[in-house]
Amino acid sequence: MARKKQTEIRWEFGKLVDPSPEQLQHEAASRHLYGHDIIDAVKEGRMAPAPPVGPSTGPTTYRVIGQGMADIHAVELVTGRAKYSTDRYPSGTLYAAVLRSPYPHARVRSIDVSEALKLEGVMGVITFNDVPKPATRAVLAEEPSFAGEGVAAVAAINPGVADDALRLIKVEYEQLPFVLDAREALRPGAPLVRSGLRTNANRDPQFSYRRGDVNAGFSQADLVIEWKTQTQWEQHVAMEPHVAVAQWDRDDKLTIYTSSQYVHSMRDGIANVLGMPQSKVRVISEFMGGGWGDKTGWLPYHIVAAVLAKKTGRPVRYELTRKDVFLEAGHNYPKYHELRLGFKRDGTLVAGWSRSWIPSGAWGARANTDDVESALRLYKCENWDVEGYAAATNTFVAGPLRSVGEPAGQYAIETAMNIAAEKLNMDPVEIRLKNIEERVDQVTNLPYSSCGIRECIVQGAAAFDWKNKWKGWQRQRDLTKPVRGVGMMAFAAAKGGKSAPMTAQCIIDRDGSARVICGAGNIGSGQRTTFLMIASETLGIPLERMTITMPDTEYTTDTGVIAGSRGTKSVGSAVQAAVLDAKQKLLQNAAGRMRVPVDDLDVVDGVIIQKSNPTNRLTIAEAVASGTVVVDQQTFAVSTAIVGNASLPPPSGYSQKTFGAGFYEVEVDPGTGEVRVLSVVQAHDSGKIINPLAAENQVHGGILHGMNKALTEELIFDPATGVPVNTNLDDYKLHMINKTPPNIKVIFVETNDVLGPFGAKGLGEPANMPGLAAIANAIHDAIGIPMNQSPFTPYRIVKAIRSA
Amino acid sequence: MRSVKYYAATSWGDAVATLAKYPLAKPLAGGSDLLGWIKDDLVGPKEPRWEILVDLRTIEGASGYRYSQGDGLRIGALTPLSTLETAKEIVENYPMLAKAFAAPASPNIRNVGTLGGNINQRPRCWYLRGPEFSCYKKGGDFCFAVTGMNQYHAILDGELCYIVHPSDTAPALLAFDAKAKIVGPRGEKTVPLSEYFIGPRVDVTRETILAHDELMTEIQVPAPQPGVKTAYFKATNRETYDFAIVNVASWLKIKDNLVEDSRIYLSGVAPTPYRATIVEQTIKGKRIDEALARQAADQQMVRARPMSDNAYKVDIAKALIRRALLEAN
Repeated sequence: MARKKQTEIRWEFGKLVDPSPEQLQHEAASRHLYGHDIIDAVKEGRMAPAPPVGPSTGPTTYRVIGQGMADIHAVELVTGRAKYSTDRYPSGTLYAAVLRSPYPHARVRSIDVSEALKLEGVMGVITFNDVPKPATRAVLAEEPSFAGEGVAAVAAINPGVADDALRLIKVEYEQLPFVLDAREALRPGAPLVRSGLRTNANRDPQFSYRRGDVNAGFSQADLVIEWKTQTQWEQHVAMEPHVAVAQWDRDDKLTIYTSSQYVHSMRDGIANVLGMPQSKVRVISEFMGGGWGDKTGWLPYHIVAAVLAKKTGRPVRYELTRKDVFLEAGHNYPKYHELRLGFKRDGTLVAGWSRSWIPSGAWGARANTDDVESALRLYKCENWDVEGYAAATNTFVAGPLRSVGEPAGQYAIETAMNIAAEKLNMDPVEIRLKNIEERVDQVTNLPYSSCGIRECIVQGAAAFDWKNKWKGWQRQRDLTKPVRGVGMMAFAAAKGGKSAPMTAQCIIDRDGSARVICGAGNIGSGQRTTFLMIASETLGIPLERMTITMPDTEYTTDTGVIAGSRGTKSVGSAVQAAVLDAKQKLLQNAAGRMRVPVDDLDVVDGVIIQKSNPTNRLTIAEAVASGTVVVDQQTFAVSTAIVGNASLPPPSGYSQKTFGAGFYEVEVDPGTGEVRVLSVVQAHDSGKIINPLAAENQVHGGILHGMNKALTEELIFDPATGVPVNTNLDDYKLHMINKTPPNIKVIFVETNDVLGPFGAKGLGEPANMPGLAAIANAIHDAIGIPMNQSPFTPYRIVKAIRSA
Repeated sequence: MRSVKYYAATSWGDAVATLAKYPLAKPLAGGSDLLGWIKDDLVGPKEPRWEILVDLRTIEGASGYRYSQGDGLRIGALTPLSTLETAKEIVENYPMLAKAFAAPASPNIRNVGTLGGNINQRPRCWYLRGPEFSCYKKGGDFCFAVTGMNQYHAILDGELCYIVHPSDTAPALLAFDAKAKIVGPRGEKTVPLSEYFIGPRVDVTRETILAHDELMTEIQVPAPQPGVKTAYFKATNRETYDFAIVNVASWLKIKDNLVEDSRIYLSGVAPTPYRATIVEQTIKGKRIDEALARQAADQQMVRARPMSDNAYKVDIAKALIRRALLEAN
């Protein structure tokens, strides 16, 4: 396989501007979290690359893998017996509420809580003076740096009293200058977002990437597309709000029930902020009502609940109101994108230039490096020049939301590709097939561990009936009545690929049943069923005889975060490795007992058999009881449970990416600007699909999520006051179930990935990627006008038609 | 949510007396909007902090409807919308009203939301409904919408204040020339719904003619007439569970293919339900066709005074007026 020289690759983060020790520590931690430190070590030869885990060319017929299985918790969930963290009310629970700044930037001149303390039923009041002051985020702020940042909190015997008490706290603010927009925040003389910063730029630029010679590329081009796009602020709106129920034991041990995708990270963060040993903090999140990326690390509400619980000596429950969630939790950042693409007359992409800006909030440090990554690897192109900028702003704090920056970047690129197709009078499918790169990741120059992009586009187009539905560019459109249009996009996503280090255990008990010890989050897309399927397939014990632990830091080790579409791929790998380790030990025991070579043994349907003589069998219980240990040259029998361990670095040597294509048909009412999505085909290469039922379900959800991003969801700031105006579910609009498109078809192009467990890759985020770009392109096709700002509400569509 | 006192009224008289006695008492019907209002603690010098909720749902006979050919339709103000949208007599005799009763919010909310509540709900404006903003209506000295984010604000009749009337049912009832029965300390009265609403030009702190201790008890819709054609259209962001960007209800009396009489009302465009009188004048005595519908809609919207971000509503209003007229054709 032809590879470019490593020296040509330049994918760089900008330098940290005046970093504090905490920032450097935070950076190291986040690089570790995402496995960058290990990837670097492997790249630089300091560490040997990990061997691929799982069979790369294993059997293609499986006993469990590939069967559509109902969630193992389905009955608990639908009967309401599943306990969510919002269901936790320990005896004597107090209710917390937080007083929030009405200004985007202010300093508290004075604060008086005496009246609140006098109110009957109020058990404790804290202000910014009573909480730790971590460098990365204020728990309660003396200098609130966004509208809605907390300044004080109360604990009371019921939520009504807590709310009443907030109004009795007297605060005198000094308002300070603020800035909401990223580009404004980076201008010389812009107000600093909070004191202590010397500049609003976290890095300058946030990142850059260059390959080839972009000027030479453009000089070859017959057509240059210049295009600007803007996306919007979004919140995750998980059905279960953020919640922390904090309780201190007599021996100063803190237990927090919370809604979490990653209990170990939250535990570590909370322990660090409170200055406690991690062993004395326990974080539990059994069932959760959605996370979408916003529930991975500690947030102020955890610490507020813990400090109030300590102060009052009673359990304290802080369940954020929907408005609290909108103000305090994470948000997907809006991205302003300027793009130039150069094409030959035949549609060949020859050069790309990209600049993007995002506001990251007062405490955000988001790197939007994923903004054009999809395009950098999806399309063969020698010449690219990319820079991205991020600025601190007095806005919501930016954080990851399902797919993070990728849909915004794909929106910019894929709408530009559509405009190019129009200008060149090419079929949008054809221009993509002409340019795709299928073998090598052009960003890292590593070969793909699997790539089904061509099949995704070809099979998706066929299933959608693109040939007949797409009516060509040169047609008259009658905008006096509803018009239909079709649009498509393709992607090569970072999500669902790269892995973080992780651990897991598998215990085979004396009766031959088995448990998987897994600390990964349980966000509700059926991962635990998937993990058990992987474990059962690997171990040979029927799934019904296996269990898996819930996320609880007390009894599990870090099995990785359920975010970044890593569940099946990374956590699944850890589970598989732990199970393989246990299986190896089990077969060692059996080999000793049966007096046959261990390589000649396997587990089939819960029984150990000799492969060369299948009638020679041993039960798993017998094998567990057949362990031996040698002490002082004497052999002793050991009959305790078998424990398998895994501690995996991320695999290397390949670039693992997920691929896909989305095809959408819409009907636009030009009179009212209303858009209806009529049919959708999404084709995904997420490797081998472990549980097709769960996978299809996840794509259906992703389609609705992508439609929201494209059509309705948008948080809006009042520019004069810096206060968001629609932090409620009336004015921040999510689609209702009736907007589900009548026709949805999901195609899985099942590549057998070299790295993934049983050839699997991630799917959660790829599922919601196509919506934004494909719907933009479908609207473009319907009304003949490309849409440069999302979401495509009646406001924007009628405005576009009006000014066309 | 902050603590409030709750009082279950036993009769209209009891409710009126309670309101008269307590200036900080507020009538409660379905509560789907009022409770959110209290939760958000929307108060100001002209916007009291309600301390007592007087539940009207406990009043016997306040809910229900009856229909007769001679008398038309009478609907108790506390009747849930979900009862009305499927009522046989309404679907058969007033199909446009049935459509309007099914238009607000979601099935869940229409199960608790009442007709009286829908007509009397507070206007939409995210500044009015943001506790951080002390605007004219709340007793402040500023309208944030004029220089702020105004994509959903009024394009007609705004002055000082650019709220929009959110009711999906009011324009439909107005098109049918409905009346409201009102009870107060001095007894009962019946007023045309067309005289019921008050815009900011008259008094920025009020929205209806109701005094603090007066209540709407009943809506009366005249009997259906022969030769009448009606239409109802609502444009939204997400089709359901949504306030109208613009909606239009039309009532046209056609004789020999010519418009003899008409009433056309819009919601979502002005602080009160907006009567499209220019449209009515333009089509009077004429036969409706595409050209006339376009001319009428365009002439009406000459009146519009859009702000920075809401000119698109002018286009949507025109489109819906045209559709309403052509549907009657």
